[in-house]
Amino acid sequence: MIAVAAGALAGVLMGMGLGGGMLLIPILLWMDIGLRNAQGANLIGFLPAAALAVFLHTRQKRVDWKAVKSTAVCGLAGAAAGAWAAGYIDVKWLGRGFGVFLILLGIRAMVLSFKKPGPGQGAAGKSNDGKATKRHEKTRRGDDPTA
Amino acid sequence: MIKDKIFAALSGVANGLFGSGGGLLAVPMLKGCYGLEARRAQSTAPAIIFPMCVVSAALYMGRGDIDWGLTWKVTLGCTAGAALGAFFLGKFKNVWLDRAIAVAMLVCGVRMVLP
Repeated sequence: MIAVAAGALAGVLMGMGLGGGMLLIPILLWMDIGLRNAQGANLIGFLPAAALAVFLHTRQKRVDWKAVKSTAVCGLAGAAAGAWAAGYIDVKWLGRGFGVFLILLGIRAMVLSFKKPGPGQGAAGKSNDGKATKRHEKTRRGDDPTA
Repeated sequence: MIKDKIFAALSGVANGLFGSGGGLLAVPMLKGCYGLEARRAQSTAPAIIFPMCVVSAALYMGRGDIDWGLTWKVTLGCTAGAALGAFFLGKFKNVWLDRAIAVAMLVCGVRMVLP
């Protein structure tokens, strides 16, 4: 039951885009689950949620497929390399590495929480009403101009 | 553009190595390299992360690192939670919730680093 609740908490945070899904692994570790089992559960646990998210966001024309296609190969190569390496790294150091990663992301999240966001601000820091900034703007077919 | 490829690779490495965290790298990459506004970046990230999770999970499965008795329960909770969370995506922004999650990450991170 705790595993279901932990998954639900992580799912809600992930669904809201708050990034709290990373907290699932520490929660599972506190339940005396082994690190690799916790990681595997997190990876598979996320799959239906991710598929649902992709479906819903695609319907609402919120997905930038150009960015997805552009980064797919490198992302998959990185995932394969990381997953392969995880099998060879001692669990103690893998856990510490994840801990450091969590700390860095936690610091980043805390710093960002003190920055005032503008309405629909993009990378250039200018209000762009949800559209891509000019340096990336090319004709994009199928994009919802109101997204 | 090479920067987006590098960040995508790093996102993938985090996803495979730690089983998590790829999305938290993908969203800033989408904002910084593609100029997407926050909501669009958060909506695009799952499409980037999903295939990474498939690849990573396949490797974990091949190694026997999946406890199916645990995983189905986590999956059930995650799916239900994410459906609920997606409904609220962008509907409200509470800076204190962001800070609470940041603190939780810091606490969990420190606990994992300490022997």
